[in-house]
Amino acid sequence: MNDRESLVLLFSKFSGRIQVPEERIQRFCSAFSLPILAQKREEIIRKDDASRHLHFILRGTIAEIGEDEKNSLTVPNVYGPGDFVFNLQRHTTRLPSKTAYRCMTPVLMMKMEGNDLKELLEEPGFDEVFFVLQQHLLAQVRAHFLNLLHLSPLKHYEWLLMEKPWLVKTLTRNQLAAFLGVSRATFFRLLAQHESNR
Amino acid sequence: MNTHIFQRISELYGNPGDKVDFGIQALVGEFEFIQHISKGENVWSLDEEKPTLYFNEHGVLAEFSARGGKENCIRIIPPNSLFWSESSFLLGAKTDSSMRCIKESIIYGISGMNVQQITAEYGLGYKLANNLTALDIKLYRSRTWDLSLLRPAERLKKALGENPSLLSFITRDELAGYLDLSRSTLFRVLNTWHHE
Repeated sequence: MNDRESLVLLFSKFSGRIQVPEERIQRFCSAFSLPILAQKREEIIRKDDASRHLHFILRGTIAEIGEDEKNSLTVPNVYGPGDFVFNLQRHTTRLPSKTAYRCMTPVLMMKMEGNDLKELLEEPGFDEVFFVLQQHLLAQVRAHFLNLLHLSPLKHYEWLLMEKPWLVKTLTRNQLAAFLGVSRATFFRLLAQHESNR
Repeated sequence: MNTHIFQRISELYGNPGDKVDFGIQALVGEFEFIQHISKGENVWSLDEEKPTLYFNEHGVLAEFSARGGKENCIRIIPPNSLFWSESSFLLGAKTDSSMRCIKESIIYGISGMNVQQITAEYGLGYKLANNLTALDIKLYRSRTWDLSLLRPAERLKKALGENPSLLSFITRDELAGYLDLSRSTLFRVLNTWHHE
C-alpha cells in the first residue's frame, strides 16, 4: 500500500457515519503532493504566517511552539505520524499564526497547497470531506486538552511514555515541560519522582 | 427568541445571500421549546443520545467532563448562545460529557435530523457543521493555552477576561477544576487580589 492509499484509508475510517462517497475521498487525497522530506528545525508554518497549506505526516514529529505574554515557552500541541498539520489559528480566527510549527526530526509528509484546498472546498460536496478532516483535527486538540485537564503532570508524563514515546524522545526538556503545562523546575522534580516510582 | 437564534446561526454562515437566509429561517422555524431548566439540572448526561443543536435563552450552563472519578468544567455557555454535544450532535455517537444548568434558563433545540434535511433542501452543505467544529477547535486551543500558563494568577486573569461572569456563576471548586488549580491555590490567588 502506498502513502496516498494509506491516506485514503484513514479518511474512509474517519468518515464513519458521514459516509462520504469513496471517489470524493480519492480525489481529495490525490490533491496531496508525493511525500516530501522537511529537515529537522524547518518551520512548515511560521509565526505570523497566514498560509492554509494542509500537511499529513508520514514519519517524524512536528511541534507547535510559541510564547505567552510573559515570553515563557508554550507548546500547545505536538504532531506525529498519521496526524494532519494545519494553521489552526488562521483557520479558527482568520488571524495569522501566533505559533510556529517546527520539525523536531526530519519529517516525511504529504502537502496540499492552500490554493488547491480552497479550490476543492468551493466544489459541491467537498465541505463534507473537510468535515471529516476537521473531526480529526478536533480529536487531536481535544485529546491533549483533556489530558492537561484531567491528568496530573506526572500521570500525563507517564501516559506519554506509554502512548507517545516518540514525543518524549524528540522534545527537549524545556519543551516537554511546556507541553505538560509545568515549569522546568517542576518537570525535573516530576522526573525524579518518576524514577523513584520505578 | 427567533431573532436571537437567527442572529447566532447567521454569524456562523458569515455573509449569506438570500438563498442561505431562507435556509437559516427554515432552521430557526424548527427550533422547539425543550425545557425550562433549573440550577443543578442537566440538559444531557454522559452516554445519552442527544443529536440536537440547542439554544440557551437567558441562563448559564456549564459542560463537564469526567475521568477517573474527577469531574472538570470544560466550558461555560453564556446566555443567548447555541450549544451542542460534539460527540452526539456532530458525530451521531453518545454524549461524552454532561451539560449542567448553573443559572436557570429556557432551552430550545432542533434535532440533527431536521438540520440535515433543511441544510440539504436549501443547499447549505456542511458549512454549519464545519463552522461548529471550527468553534470547538478554537475553544480547545484557547483552553489548552490557558492551562499552559504557569502562573495561577495569569490563568485566572485570562479566564475572567474571557468570561467576566465566571466568578458569579460557578462555585470555587468548579472554578478550580476549570483552571486545573488546587482549591488552595485558587483561594491564595483570590485572597492576594482581594488584598491588592
